Amino acid sequence: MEKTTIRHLQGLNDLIADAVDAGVTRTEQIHRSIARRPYAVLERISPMAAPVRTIEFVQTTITGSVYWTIRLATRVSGVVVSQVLERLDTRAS
Amino acid sequence: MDPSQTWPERGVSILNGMFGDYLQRRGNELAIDMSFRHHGRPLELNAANLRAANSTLTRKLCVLVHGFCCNESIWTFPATATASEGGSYGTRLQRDAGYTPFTLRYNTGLPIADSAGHLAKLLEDLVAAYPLPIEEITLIGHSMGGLVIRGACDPARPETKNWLEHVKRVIYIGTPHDGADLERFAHMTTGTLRAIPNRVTRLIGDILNMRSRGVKDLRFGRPLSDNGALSWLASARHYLLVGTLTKDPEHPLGRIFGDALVRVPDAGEAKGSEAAGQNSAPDIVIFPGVHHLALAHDASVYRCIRQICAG
Repeated sequence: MEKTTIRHLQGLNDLIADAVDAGVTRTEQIHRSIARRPYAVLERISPMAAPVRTIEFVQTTITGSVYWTIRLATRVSGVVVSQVLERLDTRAS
Repeated sequence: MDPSQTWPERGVSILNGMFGDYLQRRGNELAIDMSFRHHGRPLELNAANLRAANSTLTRKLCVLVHGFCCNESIWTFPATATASEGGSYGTRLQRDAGYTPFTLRYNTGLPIADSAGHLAKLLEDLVAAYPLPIEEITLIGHSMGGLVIRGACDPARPETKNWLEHVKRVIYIGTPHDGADLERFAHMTTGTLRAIPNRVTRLIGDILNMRSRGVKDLRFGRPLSDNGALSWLASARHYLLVGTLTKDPEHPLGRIFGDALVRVPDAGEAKGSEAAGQNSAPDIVIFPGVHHLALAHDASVYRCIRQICAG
């Protein structure tokens, strides 16, 4: 494989990682703001406020960890691809 | 096949056009560094390389600067052309008029003023490395490339030194000197979508707004100097070559849509600077039925360039 092609693949890999990261972060923000709406309504009913807050905390923790896992998986696969390309680059030179 | 004509190379140029400023900021390997190209590879500017790249060096140089989201392959005539008709404006000028052609590749997503500065520096390096005395330089720019050339020709620019005195002609092909309507529309759409109080439309607006500074600069057209609007370089002749979608350039659709991306400039507007005391106002040549991209490799456009360069 040519060095230019390897460099381009490296760049594409970085760009995909950036795009997935930004996309996931933005989706998470929108998800959170939409999910917040029913909790905001339910929190106004005083006997329900405390359990609603607990449920919301559990829900945001679970969804947050899912988004975090997606970001982590993207980064890890990005690093793996990057390592492979670096080896190919060393062989090509 | 020249590597510049392969789809991966074209894809990289498109990505640079759309997100080039981001790619450069992030140090991404896809970001293109401005350079003259020979068979798709960067040409390092020294006498030995220049001699190796061109079998016959001449005292007349022509520099071709491509437009937004393109690379130097835009200048290549389609494969349907016969061998005698093939090549590009550069190679044809070399064959027919003894010019030594240089084709540029650059990151079209960077601000036009930045690209202009890089071009001015590169032309300075070219003139310094060129092994023969230079008689003249003809600059040919397609679309955004014309704006980059216009910005580079600003005499007030610090990078502009020795090369500017050699520039005799500047040919702008389908260049949006007064801004591009498509980018104005994109700007308006982005603003509207972001103003609507809805997360989804705002998200779409934000995604649209991620487009590069280069394309956003096309809203205004000509780059500005420190003193405001940049005037035409007084020591050179300027030619605006523009296309229209319609066979009749006076057809209302032709007047509105121009070559699909750039409208035919009003002769009065182009000559306006002449009235202000400049003798370098551009000549306008219209090519009916030639759309924006075809302007970069069209036989009738080449005949006109050939005639201009003979004059």
